[in-house]
Amino acid sequence: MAEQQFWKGLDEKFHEPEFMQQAGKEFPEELPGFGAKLQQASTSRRDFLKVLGFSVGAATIAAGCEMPVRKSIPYLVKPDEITPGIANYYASSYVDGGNYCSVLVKTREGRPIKIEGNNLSQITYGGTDASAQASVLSLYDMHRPRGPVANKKATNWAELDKAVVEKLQAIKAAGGTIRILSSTIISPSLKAAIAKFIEQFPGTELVQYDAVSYSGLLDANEQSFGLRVVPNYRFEKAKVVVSLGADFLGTWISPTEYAYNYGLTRKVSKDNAKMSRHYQVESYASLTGLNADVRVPVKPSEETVAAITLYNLVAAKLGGTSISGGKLESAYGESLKNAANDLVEAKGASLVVSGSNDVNVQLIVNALNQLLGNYGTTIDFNEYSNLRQGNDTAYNKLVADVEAGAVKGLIIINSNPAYNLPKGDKFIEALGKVELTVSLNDKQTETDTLCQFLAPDHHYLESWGDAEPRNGHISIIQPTIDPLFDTRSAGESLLKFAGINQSYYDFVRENWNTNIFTKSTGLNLFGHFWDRSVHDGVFTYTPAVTVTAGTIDVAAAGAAALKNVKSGGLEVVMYEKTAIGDGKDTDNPWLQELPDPVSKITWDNYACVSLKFAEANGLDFTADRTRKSYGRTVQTIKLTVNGTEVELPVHIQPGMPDGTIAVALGYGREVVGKAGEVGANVYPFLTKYSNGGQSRYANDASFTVTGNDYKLGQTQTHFSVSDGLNQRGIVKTTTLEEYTHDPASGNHDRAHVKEHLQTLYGYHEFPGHKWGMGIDLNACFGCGACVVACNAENNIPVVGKKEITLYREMHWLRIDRYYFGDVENPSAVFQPMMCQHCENAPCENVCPVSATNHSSEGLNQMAYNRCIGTRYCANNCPYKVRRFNWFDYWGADSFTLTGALENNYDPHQMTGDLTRMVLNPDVTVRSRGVMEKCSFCVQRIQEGKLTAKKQGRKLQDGDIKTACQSACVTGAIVFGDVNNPESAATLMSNNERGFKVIEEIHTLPSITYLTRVRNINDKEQLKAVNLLSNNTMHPPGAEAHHTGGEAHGTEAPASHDSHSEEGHH
Amino acid sequence: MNVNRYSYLSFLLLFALMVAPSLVHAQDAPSEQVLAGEKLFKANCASCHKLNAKLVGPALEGVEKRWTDGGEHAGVSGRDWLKRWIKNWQDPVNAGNPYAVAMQNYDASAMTQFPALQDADLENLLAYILTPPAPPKPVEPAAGTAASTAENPYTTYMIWGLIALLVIVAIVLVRVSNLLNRMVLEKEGQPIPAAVPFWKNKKLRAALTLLIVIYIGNATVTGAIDLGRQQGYMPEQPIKFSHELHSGINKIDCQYCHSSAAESKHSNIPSSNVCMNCHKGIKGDDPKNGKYGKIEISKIYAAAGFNPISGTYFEDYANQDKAYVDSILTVWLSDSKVTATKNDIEAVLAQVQKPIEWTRIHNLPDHVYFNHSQHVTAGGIECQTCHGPVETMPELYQFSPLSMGWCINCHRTSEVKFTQNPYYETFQVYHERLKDGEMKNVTVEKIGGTECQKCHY
Repeated sequence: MAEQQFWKGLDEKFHEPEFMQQAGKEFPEELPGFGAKLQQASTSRRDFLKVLGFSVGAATIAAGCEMPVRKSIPYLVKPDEITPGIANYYASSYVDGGNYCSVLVKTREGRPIKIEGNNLSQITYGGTDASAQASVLSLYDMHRPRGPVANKKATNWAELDKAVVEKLQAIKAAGGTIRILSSTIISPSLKAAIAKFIEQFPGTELVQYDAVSYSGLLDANEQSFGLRVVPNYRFEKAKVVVSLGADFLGTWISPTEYAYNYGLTRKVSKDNAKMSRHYQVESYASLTGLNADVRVPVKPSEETVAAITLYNLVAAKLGGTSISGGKLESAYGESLKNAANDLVEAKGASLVVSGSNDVNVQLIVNALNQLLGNYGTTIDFNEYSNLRQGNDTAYNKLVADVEAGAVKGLIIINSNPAYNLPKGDKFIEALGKVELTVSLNDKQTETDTLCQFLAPDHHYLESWGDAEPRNGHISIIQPTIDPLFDTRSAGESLLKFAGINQSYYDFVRENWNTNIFTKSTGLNLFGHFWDRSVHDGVFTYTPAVTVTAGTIDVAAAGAAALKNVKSGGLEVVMYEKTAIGDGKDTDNPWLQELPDPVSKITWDNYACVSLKFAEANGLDFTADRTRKSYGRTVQTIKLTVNGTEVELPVHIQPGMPDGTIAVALGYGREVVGKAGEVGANVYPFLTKYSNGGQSRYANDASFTVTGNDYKLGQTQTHFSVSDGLNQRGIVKTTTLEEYTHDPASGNHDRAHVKEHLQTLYGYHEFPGHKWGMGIDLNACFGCGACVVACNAENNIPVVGKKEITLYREMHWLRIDRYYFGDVENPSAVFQPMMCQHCENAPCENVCPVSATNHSSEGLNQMAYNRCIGTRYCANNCPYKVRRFNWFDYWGADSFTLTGALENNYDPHQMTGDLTRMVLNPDVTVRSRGVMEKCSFCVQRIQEGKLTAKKQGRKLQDGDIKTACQSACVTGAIVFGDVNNPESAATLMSNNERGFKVIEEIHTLPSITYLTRVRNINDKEQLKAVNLLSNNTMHPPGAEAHHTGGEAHGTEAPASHDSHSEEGHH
Repeated sequence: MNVNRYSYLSFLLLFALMVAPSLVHAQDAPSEQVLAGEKLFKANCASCHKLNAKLVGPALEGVEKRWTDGGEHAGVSGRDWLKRWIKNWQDPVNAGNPYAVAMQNYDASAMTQFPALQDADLENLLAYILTPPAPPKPVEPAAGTAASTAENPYTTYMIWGLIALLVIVAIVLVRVSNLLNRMVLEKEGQPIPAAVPFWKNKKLRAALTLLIVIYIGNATVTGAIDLGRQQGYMPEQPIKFSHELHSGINKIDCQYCHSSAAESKHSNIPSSNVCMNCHKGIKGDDPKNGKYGKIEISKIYAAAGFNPISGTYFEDYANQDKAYVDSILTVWLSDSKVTATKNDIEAVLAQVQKPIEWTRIHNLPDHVYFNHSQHVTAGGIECQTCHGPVETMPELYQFSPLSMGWCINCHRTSEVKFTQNPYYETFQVYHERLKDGEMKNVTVEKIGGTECQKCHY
């Protein structure tokens, strides 16, 4: 069986004949109620006509008689800044524990509807991530706590304050201990409020912990440099990055910030053909790993050994003390040698990061960075990060104290220990012993149900506040809507408990006046400074931090690290998913429906295993590979770790190390909004290092195959086309070396294709604008922020898991992930795919009612209420980007009858009045039975043009930004007028790397993609790519160009080597 | 004879119509001094003073007399003190004029100083205040003008008469032809088919069926197309607001109230505070203007929380005792000059502490995107183009069909400001064609104004 170079799933990879046969059909299984069944049906034609007549008549009577009378209620006194119909933007900050994003909140008539990035931020640079984009939906979450609760009964604030204060005073009088437990707090004002509380109740301590702990990293820095902080990693300065299990593009500390900086080193141009080289050593297939140039899959227990091996390799070259014991025995071990060579070569401009929570591993990494001279260049302690402050030791002590009954009062802020504590903590039962338990969470959690009092916090969009994500970078949180429910800022609650009757706004302002204004220069009046800070959303100053580097005892650290290694038996690694994270936002339907960037699975967590593992353990994947039914049917296993048994579906994940199972945290919540009730909780699987630190892997796990089938809602292989990808130029890659010699490498077939383009149809005229888009595949890491941004901007419905298994997802923009290379260790290209707005669109020709047609500005238009739902267009679309409304998902139709006329399908309560407040009023809410697809954010185009017209000026490039473009932190997407020769989109389409997807069928797409350039030197990896460049799709005519050049010289021996390597497997 | 009598009467009527307007104007024209004073008054004083009512400052009717009555002080006449007060009110106060001292605390807000006014100006002002010219009466539209615009019914009758005549002629002709045919057959000795009564005639039946189907089909399609259209829609509004009065007679610019039409997709209904800009002073309590002014304006007061008696806003209106507000408004409306009925007062009190719920007249379906500023600011279109002669509508109604065909037709014929607005420089091809004479003009349609996704997205 011929292997393909690009593949979306194993079914395609192995070219299963049944799968390929299935892929050619419109429906994988017989439609219910069609075929033979229909002929045997008892309903006669006469009955059908009767029902038809009745329903038409009923509809006419119900809908036709009277126009509804609509009221129009003007303001009593119109606020100056609000003009109905015009959006206002307010600077604020998305903060969720240690997740931070500086944002602009778009509000319409006083309600927030969309999150945009804040360009003034030096941390997120105007970019956003999926969680920040989706946070606007959680504002309208109907499951949020609606007011204060005392002993499970709704109460009012005065009563709650009275009761809590009484108890606090009683504890104080009796000399009892009070503790505040919180996730990382990055707000200076909230910390000040806590200080006020501690003033009132001396002896109270703040204990911070993160559900996914970074305590090891913080402790190591404290030992090495005397500062218990996360330093500022300067990825933009690193020529070589080695990540030991740190998913810094997806979940690690500050992924948006790192993606921006890392992105700067990944974009290449003809004039600047330089790019960083990225090695990733990891124990599961992460987003960062699939983007790496060289990926080394290791078992979780081998990560420590890999760190030591790398250290020793570097130390051998640079003269450091080596660590005894530990050398990575891996087929990919050779890559570490290359990594060490590259690191040494880029001394002072390299960076090693580690995702381990073992303080000893982090010490080794610190020593490694010190050897390489990276402190002061790629690692900066002056502007250290505040985003992770959790302390495992303090937390363990608190839990022990609670269990021992030593804690009398416990206040919980933004954390959920009852859900994410590892197995063995008797915290839950012990909570009953605490005299006073108060939760200040803003969402319902498992912990709240165990607390006596719930004093719910505002959503961040309703609240005043601030955040200092990085030393010297402080930003404001300002409310954009009046609180929807009877909630109160956590800070204000603490102040109230401490007997201070001050609004939190006054408190924050006062705190800024006394503590932060002093750091500003240039403005004399605090009022001016405050107004400017609120307007900009951010305030920066240059801090001065002195760091004294101590000596790191690597030998001791190495020995201790090796001692901490738990190897033997089946290993299970727990990881975070990009969108779901530690599980706090698990009830956000947008995040649940966003396919995981790597597995492309929605609404579930699952056990990831390697193909080898599945085969060796007799897991039967025939059903999975052939896809004879809708959805992806997989088997489930019962996985037992530390005595906890969890049933999980099995997903074969290319790139998983052998003998390892990876499961995502954050699922299986019990007290949560409807959307969060999916998956299984694997927090109980977490183990501890010898110092009590959280360890995110376990060994000696066992599993049994249950024999149960399970359907996964995986989107990637939906809409596959049968003739595969080999002959089709869907994604193109090249290597940096080839690119330096020939900027058009990997893209030679384009010239040939262009020469042979012919059409029977005429060409359109574009007298004014002609909209086009460019996407740089080198800067797209697949995070999915754009997908959620598109959801929010274009009122895209949530369809739920069941509909996804029926291939009915509605996302206008999807990110296709194409694996290539070795099935056990692939790399991937991420390709955002949406309507290509073809100038020669196949969909337009087949619409019987001309509901989709072409505009004079190059848009492939979709007129919803002309559409009669034949779905011919979707069938004829080669890019499979058209989406059909099988149901009325948003509640747009006038009929909400049940039974035969049931229109509505709303598994996740998206049609409530509250949830619908998130809808963008400038975009039609589509009803059942119509087709929809990406419109290039036509509402934004129209708005941009109108602004220019009203101001009497020409439209400038960059005036119009699509939602996906503005959400993207790396600037991978550009949009503009390609009639303008200067526009960024035109420049991209003229780039040597520019290609259009399946251009040879002459659809003339308006989107240009840039060839993915990879900076590789590892032989194994090189082989994969060279195979690619040799065999891909090129028509014979182009071959001559391609094989020329020096690059060819390196190809042959590389492939030879790897063949012999393969023999070892 | 009769005819003569009628023509005589109509001549009289015509004469009356012609002479009447000139009679209205036959009163004395105001002097130049008064006119100059009026100009000054409107420019400087009108924002705080009215002649016959208190605004911020006192009513100015009789002000000259009041000062003169105040008597001479320090050798200066009361009238001259008034002039010095107008220029700088502190001057007479400092000089100890008792009337000025009494007046200085009339209102919390101090009067503006007008040092630039010359003595002649002051004389003009006083002349105007003493004898203000009567406001021009609104001219009633002549009775005859309405008829000319209506369609002449005789034309329709004539057409129907003609059709009826033709049908009769056709029936007669058919019968004649049948008769002749029968005669021919009779003559030729062929068998004559039995006469079929016309209701059993198959051809006729088929024709009738066809006609009925066409009629029903046409009615259904027209009815379906008209579904949801509301041309002529004139719902009753919570306040008897007259666009004719505000826009037509008082010539207030449309965008003074509908201010967002120029910048936003929506043209707003003005918020109550915009009404109050004028109606803080114009309380409608002049019985000459009829009783409704006072009652209807009071509804705004009830909504906005304005106490018309004290001329101030209620404090913390949302939490104000409704009974108290009701009592004040009831006193205000129980004015002997205005005969407000119990129902009128109830209607006002129903509005207390409540927003004004206007009934929306111009409704577009949800799938239509319409932007006012595109048409008003970028297109420079008059409001009346779509909304009709609003300035003549005592009660507003939907003038245009607001149907897609109506939109499209306008987009096909309207020209854009192609050369005036630099935005259109992008359309280089069109500029060249205009230069070459290949194109005569650029309509909205030519820049894509009839494409689906200009309005539907």
